[in-house]
Amino acid sequence: MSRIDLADRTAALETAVVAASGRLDRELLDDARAVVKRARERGGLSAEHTVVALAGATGSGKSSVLNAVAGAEIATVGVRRPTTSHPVAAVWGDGAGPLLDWLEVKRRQEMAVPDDGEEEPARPARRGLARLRARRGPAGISTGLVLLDLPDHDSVVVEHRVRAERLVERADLLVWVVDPQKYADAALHERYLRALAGRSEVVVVVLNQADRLSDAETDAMLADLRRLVAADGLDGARVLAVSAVTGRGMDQLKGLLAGAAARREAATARLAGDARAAAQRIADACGSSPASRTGERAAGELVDALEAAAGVPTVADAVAAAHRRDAHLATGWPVTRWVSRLKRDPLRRLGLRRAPDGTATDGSGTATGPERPDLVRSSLPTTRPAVRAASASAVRRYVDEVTDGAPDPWVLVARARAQDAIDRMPGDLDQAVVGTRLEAARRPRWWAAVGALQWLFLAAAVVGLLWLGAAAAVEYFRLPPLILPVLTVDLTDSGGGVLEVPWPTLLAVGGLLAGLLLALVARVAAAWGARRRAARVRRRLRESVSGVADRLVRVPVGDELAALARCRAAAAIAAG
Amino acid sequence: MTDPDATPAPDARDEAAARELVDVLETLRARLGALRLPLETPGVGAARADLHQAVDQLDDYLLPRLRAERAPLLVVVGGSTGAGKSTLVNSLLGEPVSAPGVLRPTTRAPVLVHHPLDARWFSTDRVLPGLARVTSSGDLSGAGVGPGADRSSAEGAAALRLVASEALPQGLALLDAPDIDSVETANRELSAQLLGAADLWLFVTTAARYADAVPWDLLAQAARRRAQVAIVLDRVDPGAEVVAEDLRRMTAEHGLGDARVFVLAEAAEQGPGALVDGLLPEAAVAEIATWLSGLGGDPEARARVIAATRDGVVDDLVRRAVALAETADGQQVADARLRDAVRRYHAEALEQVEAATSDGALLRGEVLARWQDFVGTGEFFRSVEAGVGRVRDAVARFFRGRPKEAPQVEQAIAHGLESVILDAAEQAAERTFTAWRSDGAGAALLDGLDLARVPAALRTEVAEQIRGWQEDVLGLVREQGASRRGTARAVSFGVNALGVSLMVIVFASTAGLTGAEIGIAGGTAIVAQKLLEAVFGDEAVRRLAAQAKERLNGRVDAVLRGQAARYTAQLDALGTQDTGGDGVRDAAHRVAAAARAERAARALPDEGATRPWSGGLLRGAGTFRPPEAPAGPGEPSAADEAAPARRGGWWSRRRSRREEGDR
Repeated sequence: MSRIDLADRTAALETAVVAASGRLDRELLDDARAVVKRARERGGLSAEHTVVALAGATGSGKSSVLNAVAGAEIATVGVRRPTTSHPVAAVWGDGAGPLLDWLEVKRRQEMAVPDDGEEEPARPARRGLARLRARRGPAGISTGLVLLDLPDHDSVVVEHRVRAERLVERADLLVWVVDPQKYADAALHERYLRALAGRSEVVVVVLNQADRLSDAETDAMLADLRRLVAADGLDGARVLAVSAVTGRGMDQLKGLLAGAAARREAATARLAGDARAAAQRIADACGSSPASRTGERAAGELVDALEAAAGVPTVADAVAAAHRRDAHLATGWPVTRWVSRLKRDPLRRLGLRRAPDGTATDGSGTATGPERPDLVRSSLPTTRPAVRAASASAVRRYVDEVTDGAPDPWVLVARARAQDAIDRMPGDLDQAVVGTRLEAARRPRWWAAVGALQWLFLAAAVVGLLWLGAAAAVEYFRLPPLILPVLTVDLTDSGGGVLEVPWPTLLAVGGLLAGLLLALVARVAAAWGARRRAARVRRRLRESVSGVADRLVRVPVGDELAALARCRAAAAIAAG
Repeated sequence: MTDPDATPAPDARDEAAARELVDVLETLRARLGALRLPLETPGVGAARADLHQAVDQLDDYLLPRLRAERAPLLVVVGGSTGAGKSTLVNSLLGEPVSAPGVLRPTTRAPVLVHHPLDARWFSTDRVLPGLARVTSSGDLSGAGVGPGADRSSAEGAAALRLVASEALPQGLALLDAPDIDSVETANRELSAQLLGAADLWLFVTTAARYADAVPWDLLAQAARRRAQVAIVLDRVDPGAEVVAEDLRRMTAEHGLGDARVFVLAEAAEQGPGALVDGLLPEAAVAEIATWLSGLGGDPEARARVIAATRDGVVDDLVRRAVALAETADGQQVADARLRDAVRRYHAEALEQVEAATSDGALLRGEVLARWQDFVGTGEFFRSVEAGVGRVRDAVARFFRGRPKEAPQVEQAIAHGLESVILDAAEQAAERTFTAWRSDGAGAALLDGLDLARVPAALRTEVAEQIRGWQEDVLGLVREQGASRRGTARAVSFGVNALGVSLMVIVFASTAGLTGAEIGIAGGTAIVAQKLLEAVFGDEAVRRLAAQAKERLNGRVDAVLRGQAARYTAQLDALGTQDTGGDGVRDAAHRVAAAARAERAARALPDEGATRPWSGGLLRGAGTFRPPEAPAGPGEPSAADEAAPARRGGWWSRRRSRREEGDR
């Protein structure tokens, strides 16, 4: 597995934290943020130095070990407990000032200087000298090492514990000093070592005071200590037995520290370990179940349900019915046309076409749809509980389906965002329906033509009837007969006789028959047109509803899911 | 303290007071035993531990001690891992009864050492009833009882190993407890329990450890309950004697100023200070041995220590019980709060459904469209003058022509109702979930997201209820139709049409009223109203509408109640509804009163009951004569005298009177 460098890892962790903020547990994220901050801060400070902290319980001999490593009396060793109240640093190599400031260690000892007093941090005048004498460091430790003696972590003085914990967090390499009496203390294992689980490369456990034990006892105790450390999740951490009094094992410890300082990897390893652990916790919190694949289907179902809630089928039916009605009013046989007017306009019943209150009429064929649909919301009933309820259920179902498998906190955030959608949904759905062009005012041109033709046929029929009536009246009164022109159709060519039809008769019968026939044809055509128009309107309505669903539900919920995916991916990178 | 001279304390009265104390303590024990703290209210974790400790205190120490005043003094030797407790116990007895070792933690099974004649006090469940007893003879001979064997035997339940030893004076028992700060959690808990059962703590610490935080937490607890404590500072390296001074300063700071402090030097490699057969040299333990033997052998001194610890424990118990009672009250309040949230949100849901099903709100949209399809051709129909007869005729004609339209309206109504009820239930579930989640006590009960949503089966249930209601309505119409007035007309219209009309009226009505308000739904319901009035008469229509509405509400209420029960069932299962702290508080007050009475009536230990000296002395006892205060068997040491003097005037006065009498 290719190891990514610390900067990338930190960046990935930060991405994960940003993606998860507001969604995952605050404490977890705060921890991760602290890791990011620490990594940035440490990254800006001396990479030449490796900070090694000697941590441990009261009286285990941290200060003695420090003195033994340094070969000088740097930290005070005492029998009274607790002894060390402020951390003491032994510094090999220059330029550790800012680093020590960051660590908030005030008592520093530059190892080139043999006196044992407390030193103020910056002494540029002596730097050169220090470099010259740096070679005097013990057993291979030449430069680049900051050795800290921490206050006790188990002391009765709480401030000591707090100081120690701060430095335990910030040190690059942790050397836990334990002694034969205390190596199995719960405080050490449960509070500190278990928190470092999985970062065994930055932990060294040193069993001090080995001079009090026989060799066999030392071996047994080291084995037991290794078992305990492994049980803390630090399998592979280095465990040494030393004695600060007799010097046993000190060379090994010094070599280890010198090696760490020379490699200059401890800082990176520690921070990478912390980042990895934090990222792993975030990754765990994000869950591992794959993102649900039901997105498209669930979206389709959502739009279907919202369509039903908004009454799109009803509207489409109404549009078709209105089309048929209008068509009949325009193209029906003029004698029976008026009957349609008795039927209520289905669109107006739904509030989608204005009532004939003088501003517009539908009877005359000039009904106008609303010109500014966004202003006429009031033409639909404002609260329709059934719509609200149905759309709310649909939105909930959709959110549940697409967030299936997401971690609980995420699901809850997504639901909270959907709640907003639920509140706004009924209004926006109505708006979408009203705002969709229903072509309420659209009147195909052939209606007018057919309408005119209908009147023409009717006129012909009337003229014919009047003519025949006049002729009959003339005949009744024995007046000289009117001239009745006759239409002669010579069919002899095709084998028939000669057909003579008087024009008035032709006008009356032909006009009536043609009118009825035309009405029939127009009705069929209108039905076909109505179907097409309904389908068109239906498509448009679906687009509008789908737009509302996208805006109110799919985009916000999609945001959450995208953040989850981002967080998962980034955490996986940072934990890798 | 009450003046004993003012209240003569005859034996009978003394015993009655003691019995009374035992009785009320038993009541308290029963009530504490029944106390459950299942809800995660703030601080409940500590309270649960407190409850556990209080019960342990009663079972392991207080009740056994009160029931058997003359039982031996139980000295529990406790301390940090590696402090040398076992070595100390072995050295005091002069024989190895407890196995010391270098690997930590060493003592896994606690060892109780007693005089053979005292066996009856410990072999039963009188003290520490939760621990099994393992008896073994005094000597711990090699095989099988090494550290390794201990380790494997500790896997099972905790056991108490009883060892009879002639080396102890009768009336004194030593208990070697496991480490208080070991990495083994079981060890820590066990040792805390054992320390709770002690009449006297012999607290062993070392020069390296005496400032550790964990032991001082325990010691602070001991100081709070005024347990009698003696501290042994073990493993003091030569030259580190200043540590003892520091330790004394710390004991004083922690309110344990009257605790004895013994200092033991770290065993030397060679010479007179070296370990002999794993035992400390006799001279090293002489001071402790002398002091302990004195306590065990002298009934008066023993009774004094016992009484001091016992009184402290009683006071501590009362304080704990009162605190626990408050926690229990908190649980009840939390329970009520959670129930209230459930009730409130489900009541809101019911209101929501009611609002949606009145004022004609539900009739808008699809139901309206279907209804208008049903009753006919809108404007023409509406233009007809609303004379009853004409409307009726028109409608009747219409119905007879198209009777199959009714089910469509019914279906539209059912759809609308179903959505409304489901949505209300969903909303109630979501709100209740949110309320519970933001409440610590509720969040712990939620367990995942199941309770944030209604169960999938609810849709079926709601559909069933709606069908049931529609049948109800038809039933009402049928019933009314069967009555004398409407029969003929009802038959002529058909039950379905009338039922649908009634449903429409129900949804159009406002708070059970019909009439003028009906116009709200765009005149939708007027036709229905007129039709039904024509058939049944307006009085009957009003009654029918009210009945139908009532049944609908009843059914919706039943559905929502079922939903609310999903939440309250969680609480019912915990049974926190009636767990108030009143019972415990009451018992605690009675204990406090009885303890006051008992202390007032307490007589001096009966001197005639002093048993003849039996059993041996602890190893090295009597060989130690400190220069400042001669302390030997039967003679209380200076520190012992100081302790009761501080405790109050009664003892000292009593003593001085006795001394005057002696002179």
